[in-house]
Amino acid sequence: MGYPQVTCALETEADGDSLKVIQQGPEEKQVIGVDMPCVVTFTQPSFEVRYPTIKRKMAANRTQIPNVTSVELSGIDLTRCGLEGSPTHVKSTFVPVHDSNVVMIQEETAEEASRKLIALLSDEHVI
Amino acid sequence: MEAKTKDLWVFVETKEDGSARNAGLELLNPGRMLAEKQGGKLVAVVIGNGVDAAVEAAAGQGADQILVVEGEEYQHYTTDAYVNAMEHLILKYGPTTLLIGATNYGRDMGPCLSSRLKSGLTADCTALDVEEETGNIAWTRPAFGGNLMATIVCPEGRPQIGTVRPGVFKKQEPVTGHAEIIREDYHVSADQIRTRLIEVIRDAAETMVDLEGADIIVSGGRGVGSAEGFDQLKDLADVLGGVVGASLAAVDSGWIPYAHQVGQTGKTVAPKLYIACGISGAIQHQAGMSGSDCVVAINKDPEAPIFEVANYGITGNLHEVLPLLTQEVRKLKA
Repeated sequence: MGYPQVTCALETEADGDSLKVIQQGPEEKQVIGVDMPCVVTFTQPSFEVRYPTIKRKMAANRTQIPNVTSVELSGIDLTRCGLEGSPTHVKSTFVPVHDSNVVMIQEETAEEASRKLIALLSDEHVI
Repeated sequence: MEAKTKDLWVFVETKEDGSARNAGLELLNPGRMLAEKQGGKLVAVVIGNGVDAAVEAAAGQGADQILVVEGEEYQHYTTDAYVNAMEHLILKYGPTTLLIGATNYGRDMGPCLSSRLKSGLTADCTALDVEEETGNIAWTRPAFGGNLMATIVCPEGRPQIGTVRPGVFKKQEPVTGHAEIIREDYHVSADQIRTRLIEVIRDAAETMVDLEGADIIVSGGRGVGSAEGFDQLKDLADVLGGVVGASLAAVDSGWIPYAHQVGQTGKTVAPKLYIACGISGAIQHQAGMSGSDCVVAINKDPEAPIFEVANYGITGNLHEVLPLLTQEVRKLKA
């Protein structure tokens, strides 16, 4: 759409015609300023999702949800939409297999188990 | 666009000090194999300000050619500066494939770039290969929370773009570089950059963890029980020279900051040793640590799924076992 974008957002705050977005950076959080209109995508938020109350659930049941179809969205290039329009497609799928070869360390006491584990890791030069 | 070459590019993301992030460097390793199969050069793309260290590191990972774009506007990552620079390079040189590390910035840049170029992107890949019959990259990534793996191709759009989870591939031992270095003079003006960095919120504790670069991780889950419980993990990590990780459950309980989280919504790690304490091993957690060389699981439930991906398992109370392990390691290192 040619809009500026901010990704990995945690929270936003309107500031006149612009937005202040708290973004999860690679190491730390940072505050990014961006003019609207813009596209902001969010990641795991820093707050709990609000629990729906009975009143809100009832209100939600009564709410009319408009159903927009491609007929109304005349500006869209349908050849680039949906499965047909996707430049990538799934060639094959498979269920990942984990061949379990765990060695359970079962000794009389936790002391002995700990000693055995550390000895094994040391022998294999893991530690 | 049409590819002009059979070259494979790897975006080598830089830090603000001009050094390279591992996410890009480690992609040069599978990049070599893919470039050979595609019959083109392996090219590293380095964008930043004062990036000599990153260029040297990319050469040391065996790149044939390095494209360098430098300028003050690239000091901090912005979508507009980086996507414009990358788009310019791609239109000029026409690579067939582009690999990007799935870091926060890589995940920001990849989709914007592929949308502008009207090409295809496969996000968060965990395995890469070349389809013999077509020469297309076969991108494999987890679907449905890791319960299914899907192999995806991008037959028409070029360059075919993929983001790859950090830690899935490993850097090779650095070699003496012989890369041809091409400096590209391309600048993005201030008015083209539509986002502003207002403030960096530094949290001393959070910046201290380097999970992706750690050789040893002692990780805790719901079974740790409390924030204090993590002290025992810290003790073991300290004597081993490792760092502390955590599952989503432990982070959600507020026992440890998000920066420590391993798993689908946290970091992907591949240490030499991963000790999972009180972690049941949900598929989302396994997605972040199954690349570890050696996994030790300590859990009181012998049926916990974590044992399926572990090399060694101890069934028992982690609060009893952890101090004993710490003691044994101290004896060993004494």
